[in-house]
Amino acid sequence: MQISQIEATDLFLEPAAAPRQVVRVTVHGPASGVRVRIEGPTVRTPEPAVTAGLAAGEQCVVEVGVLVGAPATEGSVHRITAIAETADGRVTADGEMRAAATGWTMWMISHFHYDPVWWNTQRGFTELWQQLPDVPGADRLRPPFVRTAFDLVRAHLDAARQDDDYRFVLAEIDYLKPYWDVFVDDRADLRRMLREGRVELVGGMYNEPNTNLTHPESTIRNAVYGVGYQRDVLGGDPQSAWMLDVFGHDPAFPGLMADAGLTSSSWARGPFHHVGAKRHTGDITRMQFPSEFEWVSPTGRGVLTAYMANHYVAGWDVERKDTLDEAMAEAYAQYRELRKVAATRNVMLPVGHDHNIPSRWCTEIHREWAKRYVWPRFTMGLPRDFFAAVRAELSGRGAAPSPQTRDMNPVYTGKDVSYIDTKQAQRAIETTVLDAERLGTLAALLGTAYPAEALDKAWRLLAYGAHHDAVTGTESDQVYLDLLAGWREAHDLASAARRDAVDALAARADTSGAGRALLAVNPLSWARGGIARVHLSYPAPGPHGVAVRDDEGELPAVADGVTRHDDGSIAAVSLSVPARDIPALGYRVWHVVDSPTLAGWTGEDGRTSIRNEIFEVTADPARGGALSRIVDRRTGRDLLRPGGLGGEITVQDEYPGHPYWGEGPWHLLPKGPGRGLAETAAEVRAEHSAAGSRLVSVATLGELRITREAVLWAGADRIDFRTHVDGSIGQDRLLRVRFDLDLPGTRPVSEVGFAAIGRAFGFPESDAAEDLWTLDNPAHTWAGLSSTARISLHGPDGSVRRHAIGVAELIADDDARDLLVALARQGVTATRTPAVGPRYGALDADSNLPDVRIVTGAGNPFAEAVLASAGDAYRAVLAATGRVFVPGERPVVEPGADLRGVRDLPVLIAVDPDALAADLADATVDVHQPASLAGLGDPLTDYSVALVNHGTPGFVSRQDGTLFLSLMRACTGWPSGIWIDGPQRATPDGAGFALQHWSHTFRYSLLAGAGDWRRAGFVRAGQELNHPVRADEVTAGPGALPGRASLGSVSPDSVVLTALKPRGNPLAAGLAGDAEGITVRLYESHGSATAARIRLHGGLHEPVRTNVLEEDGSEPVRADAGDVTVELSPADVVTVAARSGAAAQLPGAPATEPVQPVFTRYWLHNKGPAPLGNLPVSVYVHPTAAVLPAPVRVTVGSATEAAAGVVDLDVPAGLRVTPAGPLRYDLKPGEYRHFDLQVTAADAAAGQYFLAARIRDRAGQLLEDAVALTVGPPAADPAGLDVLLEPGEVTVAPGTAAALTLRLRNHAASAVRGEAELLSPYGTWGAPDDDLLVSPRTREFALPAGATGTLGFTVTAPAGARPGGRWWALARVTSFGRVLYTATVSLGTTGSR
Amino acid sequence: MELTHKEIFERYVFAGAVSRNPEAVAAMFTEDGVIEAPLVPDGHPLRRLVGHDAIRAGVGAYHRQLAEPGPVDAGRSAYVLHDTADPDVFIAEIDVAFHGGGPAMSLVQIFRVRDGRIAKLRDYFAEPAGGAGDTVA
Repeated sequence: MQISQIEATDLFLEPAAAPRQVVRVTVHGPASGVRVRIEGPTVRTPEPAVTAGLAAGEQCVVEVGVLVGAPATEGSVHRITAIAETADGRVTADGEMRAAATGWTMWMISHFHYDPVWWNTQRGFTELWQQLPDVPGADRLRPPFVRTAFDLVRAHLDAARQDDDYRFVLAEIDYLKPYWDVFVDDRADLRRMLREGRVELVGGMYNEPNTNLTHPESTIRNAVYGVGYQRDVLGGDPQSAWMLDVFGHDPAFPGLMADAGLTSSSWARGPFHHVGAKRHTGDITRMQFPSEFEWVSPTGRGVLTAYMANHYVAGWDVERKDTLDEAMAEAYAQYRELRKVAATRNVMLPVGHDHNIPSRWCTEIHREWAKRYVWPRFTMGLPRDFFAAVRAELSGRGAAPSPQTRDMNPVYTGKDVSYIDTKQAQRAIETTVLDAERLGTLAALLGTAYPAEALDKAWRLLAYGAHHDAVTGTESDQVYLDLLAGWREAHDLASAARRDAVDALAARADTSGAGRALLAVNPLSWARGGIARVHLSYPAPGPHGVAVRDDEGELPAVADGVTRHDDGSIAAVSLSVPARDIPALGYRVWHVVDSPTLAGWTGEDGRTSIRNEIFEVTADPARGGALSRIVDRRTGRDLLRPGGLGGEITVQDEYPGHPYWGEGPWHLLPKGPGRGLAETAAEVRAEHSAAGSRLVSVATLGELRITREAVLWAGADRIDFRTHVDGSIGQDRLLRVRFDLDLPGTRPVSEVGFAAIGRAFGFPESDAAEDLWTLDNPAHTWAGLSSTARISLHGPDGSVRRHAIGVAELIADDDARDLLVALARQGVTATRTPAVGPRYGALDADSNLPDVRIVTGAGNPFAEAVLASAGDAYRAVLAATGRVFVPGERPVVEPGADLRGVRDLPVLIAVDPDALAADLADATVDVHQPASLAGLGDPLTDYSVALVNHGTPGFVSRQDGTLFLSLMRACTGWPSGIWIDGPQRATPDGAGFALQHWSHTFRYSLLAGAGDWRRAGFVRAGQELNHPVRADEVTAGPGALPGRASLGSVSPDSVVLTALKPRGNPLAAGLAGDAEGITVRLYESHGSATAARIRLHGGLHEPVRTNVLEEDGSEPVRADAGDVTVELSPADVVTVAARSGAAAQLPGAPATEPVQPVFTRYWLHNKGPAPLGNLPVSVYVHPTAAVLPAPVRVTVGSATEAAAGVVDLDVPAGLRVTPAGPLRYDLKPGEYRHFDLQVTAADAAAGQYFLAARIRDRAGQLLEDAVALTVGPPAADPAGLDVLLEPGEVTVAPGTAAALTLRLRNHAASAVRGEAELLSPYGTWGAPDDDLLVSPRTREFALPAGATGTLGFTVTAPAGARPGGRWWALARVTSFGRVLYTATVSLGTTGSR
Repeated sequence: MELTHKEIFERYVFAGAVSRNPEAVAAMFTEDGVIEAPLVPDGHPLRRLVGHDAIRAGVGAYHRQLAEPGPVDAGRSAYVLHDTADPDVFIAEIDVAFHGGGPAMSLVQIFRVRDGRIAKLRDYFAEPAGGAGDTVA
């Protein structure tokens, strides 16, 4: 007998009143009847452990429960002797043990992560996965533990029904709504389990959106729909934002969620690279803050957050074990790891994976573990149990969670560029929806009905598209097309609502006067100008020229394109019109009058320089036509470095998948710097007009033709760039535009949700095989070089030298929340760390890099280390002034940087954190020290440059000032090319859609000005460019309102209106009814407290401060004479609700779907969210397919409102249904009724038939579900339809149109109905800057058995369309749960420029 | 300001055929204004409409008709206005083309005007066959 090992654990045996710590003793045979105990000066064994006999060579581990004599503080070391005795004798071994603590609990939280779309389609993930054909790699994609959403919800409910200990969470509306509506019999159990606390609805969001790629209003509406459904329809109490897989987060997110009433969040990606510090470095303790912390927004609001430090799949490793003992060992191993970073004695173990069935082991562990050990507890739980335990322990200690304002980005940089067209679409639609909401509200104040249903659906489509495998561009080809259909629908809904609001305003305004009337509309809360694009057409005889006038005279409009009738008069013309002084939230009437001439652009070959009052720009034909000079004429500053270029286009080759991580679209994978257009010569042409001047250059690079325009509009303080990309980018390439800026000392700053923050310099030209972390980041509307906050070093000689800071590590031994918030309000995000502990700033783990360390408090050991290295001169400054700035010793940051060394970064040491926080109010920290102590880095240039984007969010800046904006990429990495339903479709050249082989136009603008980004006016410019002035042709006539009016405004300049809408969101709660009152949401953009004044037509009365859900308004706000004054703290986001003093709006008929009947299993048609009206009552047929004779059940269910009527059955000839009916229903809110029917083939030939059940909803829509019924042998082609889109190629001249024809043939044995949607890419939807309009978006069809038919569509090019563009279109035909996609046809505009 | 015949006609075309706005069409007529379409069959929504409400409803119904030929392609359309001996009456001779490739249509409209608004419009048009070529909608 021998003892080989003594190992103390943190396990404890009974009794609970005096728990015994487990010491594991390894005993080797031969021995029989071994009794093992542990003794020591402070340790005793109340009851020795006994083990059976051991043969020679056999060993076993004996768990001995010991008591450690008080005081046994956690971690104290005790000398021990292990004694193993048998009847024959004893052996001993000496060792030591550390006393462990009791009180630990691991909460096992069973979940399934759910992607509504990704490589698989909505129909697949929701209902059909197991029935669909396998795709390449199916073994990996469909492991045995995954199921459809319907199977998963049922399986988790069943697990809870069968096992009283089972607890689980449900989250996304994407499956909750369909499940609740279809599986009505499960409603009672789900409600019961909610009441009993056995299931928690988490998320409080529609889905898991990638909020760093979308408008912060989209984030808010995502919560409106999540909370609205989970709380008001299902009866849950959502408290935790559950963002498991999201690829980084918008800094506004925690503050907005706090404002939405959520109290916690949990997720797995953000502060560290994509799978976390543990999985990247092997060392979980590289985390610089506990896994439970308060995540705080720049507003200063935050939520308790649990970072899933070993990923959201941590607990699924438990599931992969074969026996309970192995599973418990794995659970203990997870616990041992996760407890190292826990903030309290509570550990959350997420037990789940992607789309997984219930864990088989977690309840077994829950029961068996408790039999063996009293501590730690391994218990099934819900997130709210875990968070309550964390809060209770913290509050018991009188502690608060560690506050962190860290930027949870970047994660998966490829998401900022892949499928760039969908990000452009999302941005354009978000602004159109917001504009439609604002203008619709103004129109409602004038008595017009508000388009509630249309905008409700547009927001739900945007919420759906904001999912982290949708707008991120990480989806398969088929899913891309499905998402595109949703964006197009949202675009059309928003555009129509906006247009109706404009007509309503025009009807009340005096638009009379000579010529055609245009209403130029400004959706922003301040008066402004801008360029409006107008398209007009005239029957013959048209005018020979036109001029545009406002009430002060002619505007210098310029024609971008014109077509003429045979008589020479204008048939169609596209104008760019410089607007002047369009009133805040208002309009100005313009008139288009006949004129003898038409002003256009006049070319000047050989001229390579243009100027306006603000800028002069020069292009270099020898260097591809890029700009070689950009001069700010106000100051004489050349923005470019000597020899540098502006607007240079680079193409970088990329890996199809990462050499190590193996994944594609979500990583940026450059192979190095790539090539630029500057290597080639180009034509450059200057063009002039009364409206402004532009430089146009055309260059080619391989099969790419790139046309660049740099436009200087007269008087404009920005340069507008339009980069047109035609031809093929090839594959696995990344296209970026680059500006070699000359702004020493500045740092990257980017707008994010309702704020601007500093970001790290990056490495855009890395080889991703060596350095994956390029530090590209997503910006909201602008990003550039400037300073968020500054340290001003004042020398005794009066000199001032400024140092920009952007991202901080704040080293403080108190929680330093006030200072953290003061920094974040100025855009400096920070990681709060203790003096001794892991440091922030190494790219092997951290997702980004700090550029400064700020140390507070006297005698901080880290400060001591800095001062010891820096020398007494700095110590003397600190002693004399209470502050000192110690320059860093690593001025150049390399790829893969590790900046954790004491002197790697500049360090600001401040004795008084409160004084430092107060000093930050002006974004400048004043430090008094000699210039000789400032270090060698460049002082801050007091000038800022930014690029405003229109949905190209990805940017990065090299440390030398080279600013890159990512434009597009062609990525072949998986799941690019995956196709599920029917033949795989491609662009007309045979390429996958992810390769983006069609014409793209990228618009971006360069802003510049003295001072920081606040003074340079970037916030307003970003708003103005993203919400352009639009001028629509309206009916001319008299009106009570003047021809130029402001219907509202917000002041001062630093406050931005972000939402103006009717108060409340009844449709999100499944309710009809109009909202009452008005909601106004504002944010403070400059980091300074201010009082904002809100003025609105008709006045605002009884204003209250409310939350982002527009609920719970109780805090009154000052109002006088109908104007509202609300106090905003720095960086605040404030929602105010008030009663309008204007006349009540007229009720309008709710909008209905253009295709009727509406198919209620909308997910089977890959439609995204539910139809218009959100189906408060619906009808379903079960099953969805059967062979006759068959029982069929029809269910009518109400989610939220009473409904009565008769189910209308559409029974194909030859089939018989019994009982015959009528099938009457009369339901109270929440009730449902089943009708059980028998269907037989009375007199039907073999074939496939569709039997439909229909009801009519309150808006007058026909809702329909259908069952496919087979008579005789199964149909060879279950789709039942042939579809063909013709002709294969359509080319239209600018100003003309052409037709597309969709041919359909029904070879089912009964009639089919459905929808034919024409899908075409962003840029072909008829927006003012688009080159094509493909319309209509959708058409309904009905075809009798065996019939053929056609549907017509039109492709129209405005007069100003760019010649030589190439796009594509295809039709998605959906009918009774089937989806078909035609091959693409090629669309183009004739000619070449 | 008194509108010219050309302005009245162009605004009528914009309100109806181009922007398809029944409200705006109705607003161009006098309170007792009349639309008559003598060549269309009984039951057609534009057969005879009297007063703003009827015009708004009838024009709206016409725009919702599936066989309605679709938006006018103004750039391929043409018209000639003919003044008459009565200064309040003018005639429009129209050749209209539609987006979507449907057949062109020729028609005549006779306008009677009172105080700058349309008192009576006799619209001599016949429905083209087949709309935009659909056979299944």
